[in-house]
Amino acid sequence: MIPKKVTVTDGVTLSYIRTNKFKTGILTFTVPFSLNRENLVYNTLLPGVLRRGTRRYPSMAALNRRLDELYATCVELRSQRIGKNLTLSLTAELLDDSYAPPGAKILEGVVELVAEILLHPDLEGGFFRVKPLEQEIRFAVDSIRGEINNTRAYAAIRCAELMHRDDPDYPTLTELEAQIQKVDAPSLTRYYQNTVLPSHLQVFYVGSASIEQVSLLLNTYFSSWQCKKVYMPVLPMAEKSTGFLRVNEPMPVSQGKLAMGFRTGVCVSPNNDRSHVMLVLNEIFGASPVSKLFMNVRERMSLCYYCSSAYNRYNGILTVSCGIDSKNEAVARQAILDQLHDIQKGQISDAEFCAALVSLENSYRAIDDNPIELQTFYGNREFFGLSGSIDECRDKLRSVTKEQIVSLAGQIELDTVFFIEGTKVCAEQEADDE
Amino acid sequence: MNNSLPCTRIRSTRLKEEYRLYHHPSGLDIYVFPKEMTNTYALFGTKYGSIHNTFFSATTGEMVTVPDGIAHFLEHKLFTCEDGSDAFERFSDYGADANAYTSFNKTCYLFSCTDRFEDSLKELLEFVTHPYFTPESVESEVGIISEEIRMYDDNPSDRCFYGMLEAMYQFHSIRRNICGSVESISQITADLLYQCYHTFYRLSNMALVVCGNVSDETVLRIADQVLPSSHAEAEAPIQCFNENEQERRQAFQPYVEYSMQVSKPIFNIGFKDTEIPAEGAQRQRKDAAMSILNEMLFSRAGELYNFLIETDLISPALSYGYSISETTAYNSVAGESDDPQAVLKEIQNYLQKVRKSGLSQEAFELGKRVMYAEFVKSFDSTESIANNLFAFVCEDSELLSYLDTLEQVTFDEVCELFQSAFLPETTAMCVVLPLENTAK
Repeated sequence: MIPKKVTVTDGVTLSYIRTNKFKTGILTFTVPFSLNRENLVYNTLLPGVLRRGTRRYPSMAALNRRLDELYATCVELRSQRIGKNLTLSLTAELLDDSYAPPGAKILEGVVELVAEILLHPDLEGGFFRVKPLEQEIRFAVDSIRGEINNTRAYAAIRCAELMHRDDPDYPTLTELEAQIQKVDAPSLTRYYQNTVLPSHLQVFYVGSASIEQVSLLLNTYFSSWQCKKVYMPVLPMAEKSTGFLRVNEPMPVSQGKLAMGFRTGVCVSPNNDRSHVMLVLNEIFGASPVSKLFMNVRERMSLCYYCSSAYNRYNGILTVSCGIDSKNEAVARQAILDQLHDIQKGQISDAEFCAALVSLENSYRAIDDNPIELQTFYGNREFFGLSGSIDECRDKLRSVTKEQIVSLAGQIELDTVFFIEGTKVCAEQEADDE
Repeated sequence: MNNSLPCTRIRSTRLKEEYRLYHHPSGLDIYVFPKEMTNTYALFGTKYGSIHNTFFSATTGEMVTVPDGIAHFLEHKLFTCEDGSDAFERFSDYGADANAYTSFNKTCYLFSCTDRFEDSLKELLEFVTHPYFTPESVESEVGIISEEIRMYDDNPSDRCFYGMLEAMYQFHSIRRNICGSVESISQITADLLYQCYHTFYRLSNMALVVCGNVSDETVLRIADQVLPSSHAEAEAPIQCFNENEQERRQAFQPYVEYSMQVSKPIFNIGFKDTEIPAEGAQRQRKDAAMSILNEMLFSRAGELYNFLIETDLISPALSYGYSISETTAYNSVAGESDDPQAVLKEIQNYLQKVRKSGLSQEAFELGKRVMYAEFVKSFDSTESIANNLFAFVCEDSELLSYLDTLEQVTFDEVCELFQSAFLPETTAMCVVLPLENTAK
């Protein structure tokens, strides 16, 4: 399944995959713009504010009720950072019309509703309403503070923050929280009107409706979307290290959380792309249940329940995440580094290499089975103007050699270690002490 | 190849789906759900979970009580094979993504793949039917599972959920963590693992579910190759202690609280339900009716949710639902609030108000529509189909008929159900407070 692309209006393009494979259709609306601190702050709040009501559905209750009427259509608005770019996106997951009674017109209802949300928010005196905005600010602050509830995710966020310590466009959670609280209705409305509305709207559809039908609906409901400036996304680039940093944060939890950030210098790119080599390396290192991290740090050394790695192809950062008894931090950290050193020394067995390749092949083929993953895969490639189908990506993976992996591993540098040191004394430890 | 095996076809014209059931001579029920997907998903499960802690042992013939967390421990250890290899390695060689999980009432071993399905299915059936436990291998797993337990101990949502179960139930094993505790798993031995295995992993207590682009013949041929060609005719039935019989209708404790690393209080409110139909089909019906009722009361389109948001009592994420199995049933509402007690009070006020004014027929129709759509959407993934199908098998009910059951539920039935549901004396609440709140 490969998407086709058409221009609907001057400001709206539609990419679509027509298929009868799914009972759920996907419609994603993406507005791209540049990443800077100011945009990031406004864009964090805008999804919640737009979900609070529209001209026709003037309250959250009315909007939610309409979504239920449209056979439990799920609408998710979010702000997303893709490399050095920012997007506001809305994804609607809707029941295919063939599973609803004749005349339900779910697809049309959803396009109409999305147009209401994006084009006709509920304004008062020309600005977003103050009370819902104040509430959304509180919710956003709560959500930021709530990151600490999940220590694994929090460790990863803190590690990423520290790796971007010299990046002016990467506020910390604390900085973001402070700046969000300064936003008022006029400034957020200006951002919406001057930055979001004049941008180009990219629509992606996966479902059974014909391209003519979807185009017609978009034409009908989005005719007033006027693109005044086409944003050219900044291509992914590997960020440079500014020196090694190590931070320990004590916390009253029973399990320590270790997050390690490495710089690989390799990003997805239209030219000389080596991100597929990095994907295979990551799979061997820590992304599968037979990876070096899983088989050694967990299985052989019994140090943890989970120890895995992840590679972000849009900024070239490789991260490792591990939950351990705090007293084992040094042992676990060294064991993780040892696994990377083994790769750097070329100690990759044929079994490890083949398992990584077939695992990635499996993951790529499975994209075809999920409308959201299809949209994400092709949507992100389109965003950066990258060519290549899923099959072509699989071909590239198959061409990767061990030598390429070893060569690339040699340039990976440890940049940041962040550790949540668990200070809570467990019952069994107390018993041991006695 | 077993061509002569009788086949039962189960079909839904509205869903445009069909699957087949085969009773294999080994005693195993095999379900094949064809789906035109790239990915094929196979699940080999037993109707044995963390709550089956007191039972008649198949090896000793006596009633035994085993340490908490043993079903989950067994799930971990089954991947280790007699030759010292790990089943994960072979799945990886085939490019399959394998995993396993243990819940309160079942344990499942599974894989998904886009190639070499036959090799992976053979491996799945082989490793699950060939246990190999030694004192050394049991010992080596204790460290890993202890870290898993600590990971869940640090998870406030998990703590809050179990806190709600502990408050609702006085005796039932559901109040204990699926993984057990660091202390309880230290009592697990290889002998105990074998005892549980031989009692609950008999093929007549298990099922194989395959969903994807695969033929029945392929699945049956591999089952024939790996599984025995017969099973004992007179197997003694598995007998577990029915813990629901001990439980009172009322919640054990109305309120419990914990203090943890959270930014603001989180809560889980449970409404215990001890009226559990014995028949699977009746439980399915009650599940459908109660799920519609939950939508009518707690939906984001509804009066209560929007009141709680408008009055700043809750954060936007509020979850709710009904859970029913053979020996437990409860409704639950979970969220985040600076004042969980006030949320509970408002919920109780609202329920009381609706009891007086009556439920709305319009909300009923909308709730039914939502449940219908959510159910249909779940048929887009081989993973959710296989897992849901097995969950229905464990409950002695049938997956595709759930749509008809939803359709048949009447407004009067829901109104009647409401009269005996969400009662104050059945209510239990768990709150996890930020640490600084406790210090005050």
